[in-house]
Amino acid sequence: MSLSARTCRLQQTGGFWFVSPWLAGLLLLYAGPMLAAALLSMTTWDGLSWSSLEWVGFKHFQSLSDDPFFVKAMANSAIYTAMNVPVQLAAALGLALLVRQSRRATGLWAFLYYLPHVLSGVATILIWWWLFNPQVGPINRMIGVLYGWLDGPLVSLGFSGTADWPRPPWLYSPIWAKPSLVIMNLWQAGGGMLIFLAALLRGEESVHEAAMLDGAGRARRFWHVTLPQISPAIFFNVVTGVVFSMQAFGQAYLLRNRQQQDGLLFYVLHIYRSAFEFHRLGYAAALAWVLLAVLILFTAITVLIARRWVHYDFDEGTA
Amino acid sequence: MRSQGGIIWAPVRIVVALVLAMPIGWALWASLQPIDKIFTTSTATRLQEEKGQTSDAPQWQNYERAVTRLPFFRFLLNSCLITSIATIGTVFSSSLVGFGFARLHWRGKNVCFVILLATMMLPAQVMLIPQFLIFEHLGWVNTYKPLIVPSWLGGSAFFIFLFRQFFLSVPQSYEDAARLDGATHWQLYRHVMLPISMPVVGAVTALSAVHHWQSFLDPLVYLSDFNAYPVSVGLRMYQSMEGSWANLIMAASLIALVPPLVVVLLTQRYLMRNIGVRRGHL
Repeated sequence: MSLSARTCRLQQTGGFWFVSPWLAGLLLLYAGPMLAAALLSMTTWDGLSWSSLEWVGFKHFQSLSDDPFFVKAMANSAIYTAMNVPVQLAAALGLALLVRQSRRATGLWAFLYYLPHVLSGVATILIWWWLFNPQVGPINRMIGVLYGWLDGPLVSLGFSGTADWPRPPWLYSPIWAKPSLVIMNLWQAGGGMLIFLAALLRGEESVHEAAMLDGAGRARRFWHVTLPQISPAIFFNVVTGVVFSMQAFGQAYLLRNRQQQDGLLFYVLHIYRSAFEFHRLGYAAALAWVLLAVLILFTAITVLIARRWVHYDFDEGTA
Repeated sequence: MRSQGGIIWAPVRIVVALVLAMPIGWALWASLQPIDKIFTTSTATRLQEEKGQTSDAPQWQNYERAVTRLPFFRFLLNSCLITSIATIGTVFSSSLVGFGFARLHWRGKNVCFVILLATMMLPAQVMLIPQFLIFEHLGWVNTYKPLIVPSWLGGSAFFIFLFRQFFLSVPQSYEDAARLDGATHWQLYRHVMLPISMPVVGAVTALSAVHHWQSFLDPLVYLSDFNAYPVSVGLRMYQSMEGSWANLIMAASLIALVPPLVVVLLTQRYLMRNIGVRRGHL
């Protein structure tokens, strides 16, 4: 009794110090910056001299639609997200199911497919930059070789040859630039795969077996057993995928060029350019607030919809 | 039933692995070519080959040229410095805070935990401008402080959460035994909890190290001195080098991939354990 009383008092005083680094971080990295950004989004600071600072109230937010780059950037990010997330989800789930099939070496295959995700960064973006080169890149060379193979048989069958078939200009076109990034992201689907795989491995085998005994075929078992079992993982991957895609920066920054005609002008790139290239820090802070609002709104809607289709009851007691 | 499916899908797995390996394979090939061979179309190369103008020998000197053309070793050293200090800070502070949330009782803990979860939802890029304002005000721009100090202040909410979940699962008897021996909070953390949390330490170390190595936007924003650049921003300089040097860019990029590769190879069992793959499976 006396021990627990003493421990209790000890814990009242000591616990605070253990989380103090995080509390300091909360003030320095979140509370302080957000307050500063809230104030600054209502000024015209250029980040260089205080003399440029002028209070403009909500003007930045009201004049957003007058900024052609804002509309363009928001549309680009939204379109890219709409393309990227479904493709990523399908690829990640496909990889996870493939790995799941291997009973003896699950970990080995999971690790191999996960590797590209870990390696992804500036180095791999530069590698893809060359792979996508329309003239000398390996991807279009392979397409050329493929067309070469098809050419003979097609002509002999009376069709016109492959000479007119498209060889995509990839990153050098406003239309192909975003699909190029989606293909590039396919390579790193191993991150999402890991989430799906964890859910699949946790799924109860007994439910599957019961469904099988009831005569449910492969497709039905997948639709009625597997998908509900992994629905929390789908939910997680959708939310993180959207947040990730809406924040895409590195690829767009490194791979932008004139021929794209702002096809890769993503929202965070617009924030970056506003702040550090055009020196409109106040406006950039306003832009950041808008992105945060959009993401919060999206997450809230997803959570509401998720209540209908996400099943947590398969987990053995969620913490 | 299962084994039958396994036989069908095994070749598919191998093909997928080969497809995933192709970009790296192509980059390796390109890094060993003379530049004219990369930048000529296949017919032109064939013509040159007939005249005996190109050589098939791998150009290993490309790697030497890639690292000497720009101060690449300087970039590597900078990256190693930032990554190691930030990773040590992340492991130390996130385990400490996670312990505080999991095993200690203090006023306001539940409110703080909700705030922690909220910051986990907060996208990093959104905080870029707000954090830049604070760091600029503190005079931290053009130093490594904006890249390192946040790691020592809890690191990331996700890592704190990982440690908390692990420490919550430690049986109360461990703690009671230590308390009876008169252990303080610190001793409980340092000598009981931290040593048994090595799987989490391993995973957090790997994820944090890779994250800091690949980090691009932060160093791009905060550093302007060329000699202070980490590899990620340094590599970007190769892209804007005069002329087209795809072979050198590939060589430099491949070198930059080695450290993260080594880190995940060393920590693979901790990384894979988190998804519930049992030991025998690897």
